[in-house]
Amino acid sequence: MSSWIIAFAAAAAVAVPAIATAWVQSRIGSAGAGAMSEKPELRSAVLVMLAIPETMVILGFVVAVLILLGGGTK
Amino acid sequence: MIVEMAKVEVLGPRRRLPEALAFLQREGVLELRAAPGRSPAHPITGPRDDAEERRLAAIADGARRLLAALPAPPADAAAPPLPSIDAPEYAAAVDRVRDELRALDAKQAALVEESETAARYRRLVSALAPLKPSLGPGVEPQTIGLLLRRDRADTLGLLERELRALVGDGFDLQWREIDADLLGVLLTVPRAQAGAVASLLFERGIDEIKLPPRYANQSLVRALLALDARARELPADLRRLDEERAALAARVAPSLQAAARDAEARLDAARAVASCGETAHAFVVWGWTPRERVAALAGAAARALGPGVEVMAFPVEPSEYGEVPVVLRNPRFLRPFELLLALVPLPRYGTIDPTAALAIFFPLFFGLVLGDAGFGLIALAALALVRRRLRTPVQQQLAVVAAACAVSAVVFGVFFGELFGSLGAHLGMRPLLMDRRAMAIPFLMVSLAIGAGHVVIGIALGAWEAARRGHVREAVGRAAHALLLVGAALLGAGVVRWIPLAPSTWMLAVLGALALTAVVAGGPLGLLELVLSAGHVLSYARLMALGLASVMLADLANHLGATVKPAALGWALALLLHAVNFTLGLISPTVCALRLQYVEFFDKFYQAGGRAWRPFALPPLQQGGAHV
Repeated sequence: MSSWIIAFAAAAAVAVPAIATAWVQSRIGSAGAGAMSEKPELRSAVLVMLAIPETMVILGFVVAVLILLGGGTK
Repeated sequence: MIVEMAKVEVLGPRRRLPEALAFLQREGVLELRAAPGRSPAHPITGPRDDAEERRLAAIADGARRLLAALPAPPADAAAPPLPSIDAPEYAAAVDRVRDELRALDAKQAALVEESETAARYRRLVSALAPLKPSLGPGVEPQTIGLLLRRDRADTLGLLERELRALVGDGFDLQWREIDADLLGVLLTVPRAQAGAVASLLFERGIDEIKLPPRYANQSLVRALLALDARARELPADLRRLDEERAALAARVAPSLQAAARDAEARLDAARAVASCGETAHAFVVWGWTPRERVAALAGAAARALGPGVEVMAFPVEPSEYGEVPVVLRNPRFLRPFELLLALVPLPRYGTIDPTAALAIFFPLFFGLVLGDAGFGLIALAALALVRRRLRTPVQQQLAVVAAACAVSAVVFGVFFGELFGSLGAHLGMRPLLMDRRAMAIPFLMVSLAIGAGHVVIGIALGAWEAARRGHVREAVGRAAHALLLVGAALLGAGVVRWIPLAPSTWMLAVLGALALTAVVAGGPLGLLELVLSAGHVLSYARLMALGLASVMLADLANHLGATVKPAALGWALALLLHAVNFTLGLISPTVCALRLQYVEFFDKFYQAGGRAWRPFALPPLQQGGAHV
C-alpha cells in the first residue's frame, strides 16, 4: 500500500476523533461550568463527564499507531 | 477504612440539658442528629430567644470582619484588652477598634492616591521641564500645561489660531512627546490674559494639567524636585502605616478571636437545643460518634456531670446506613491519598473505602505514563526544595502523593530505559523491561493487561460488597463476571503465545458458562455490564497512548538538540521542548490516572453518598492569626 495512503489513514484516525472529542467537550464544558455555578457540589460529576469523550481520541491515536506499525507490511 | 460508628443517646433530667450540651460541646465527639421516629421523647419546640441569637450572630460577624481586615497578630500577642461580650461596654470598645481601623484605611488610601498622582505628574513635569518658554522682556508670564492626544495633533494648529485671535502674538507654544499616545504642551501667556485663555481651553475641551495644590504656583523644575522628594518619602510613610496596623492587630486580634469564638459557641449551643428531645421530666440528646470513643465519652460524662446523666450507645442498623456520617481512618502512609477522594462524594457508611487501592494504582498509572527517570528525579528534587515551605497539612499530603508519583516515574523510567527520552540510551542506559519506542504493540498489551487486572479487582470488590450485604445473586453474578474477564485475558494471552496456554473446547465452555451465569444473575443489565467492562478495559489503552506521546516528544527534543545549527539554538529548543513535555507530563498522567480510578474502577463497586462526620464542638482556635 502506498505510504501516503497509510499516513493519511493514520492522520484521519487521530484527526476525526480529535475534532469529535473537542466538539463534545466544548458542549459538556460549557454546560458543566453553568451547572457548577449553580451547584458547586456537581464538580466531580462534571469532571467525570468531561473526561469520558476523550476516550475517542485516545483510541484514535492507538488505531493510528497500529496503522503506522502494521501498514504496508502486507 | 470507614470507622465503625455508634448511635448515642444522652439522657438526664430536663433542667440539666444546658449543662449536658455545654459538656458535649467541650468534648466535641458527638454529631447531633434529629429525633429518631420511634423515640418516646418529642423534639424540643419551646420558645427560642431569637433576639439573643441575633445579638450573638452580630457579635461573631463583626469580630470576624474586623479580624479579616487586620494582619495576622504575632503568636505571643498581648493579653486581651476588650471586655466580655456580655458587658455593656463591649460594643463601644469594638466601635473604637473599628474607628481606628477606618482611620488607618483612610490614611493608607490617601497615601496610595498621592503616590499614584506623584508618579503620573512626575512623568508630565519631566517632559515639560526642559522647555524654555519666553514672552520677551517686560511681560509677566503665566505657564499652562496641557495634554493632547497624539492622534489629534491637528488640534495644535487650531489652538494656535484661536490663541492668536485672542492674545495676538504674545504667547509661546511648545510641545514634547509624553508617550505613544500623549503630547505634553507648554503654553505661556501674559498673566493678565491667563483667565481668558483658561476659559478658551475649557470651552474647547482641552485638558489643562493642574498640579496638586502643594506643587502648584512654582516653576516646573521646582515642582519636579518636590515630586521626587515626596516619592522618596511615601514608601516610609506607607511602612509606618503597616506598622501601626500590625500593632493594632497585636493589641486587639486575640481578644476579637476569643469574642468571635465565644459568640459562635453560644450560638451553636442555642441552635443545638432544637436537635434535642424531651419528655415530661427528662431530656435526651441523640447523636453519632465513632464506636471506639463511646467508653471515653461515657467516662468523661460520669466525671463531669455526675449521677443522673447517662450516655448509652447502640449499634447502627443496616437500614440506618444512609444517614450515618462517615469518618475515614487509614494508616499514616495511606492518609495523604484520601485527598484523591476529594473530587468525588464520600463513600456511603458501611461500604468500601477505596483509599488503599488509590494509593497503589494512582502512582502506578502515573509512572507507567510518564516513565522517565529524568523527569521523575527533577520532580523529586523540586519537592525536596519546597519541602520546608509546605505549611498546611493539605500541602504536605499533596507532596507525599507527588513524591510517590515521582518515585514511580523513576522506577518505570529505569524499566523502560528512559532518561529525558533517548538521552539515557546515549549514556549507556538500557531498558530492563521494554523499549516503549520500539515496542508500541507489546506496551499496548501490557496496558490492557493492567487495565483488565484493575477492572477485575473492582468487580471482585463489588462482589464482596454485595455478599456482605447479603445480596447473593448479585455477588454470584459479579464473581462470574470477574472470572470471565480473567479467563478471557488468559485466553487472549494464550492466543498471542505470551503464555503456554492453547485455546481448547473446555476453556471456551467454561467461559461460556461464566458468561451465562453473569447474565442470568445480573439480568438484562448483566449483559450490558459485560459489554461495558470490555469497553472499560480498552480504555486503559490511554496508558500506552499518553506514554508513547510523552516519549516521542522527549525524543523530538533530543533530535532537535543534536541536529539544529547553531548548536546553542538546538539546545535551547531541546530544553524548551523538554520543559513543555515535563509540564504536560505532570498534568496528563494525573488526569488520566484519576479518570481511570473514577470512571473505570469506581464504577464497579464504589457507593457514593456519604457525608463527613461533623461533631458538635467549640469553634476551632485560629492558629497563627490567619485571616478568617
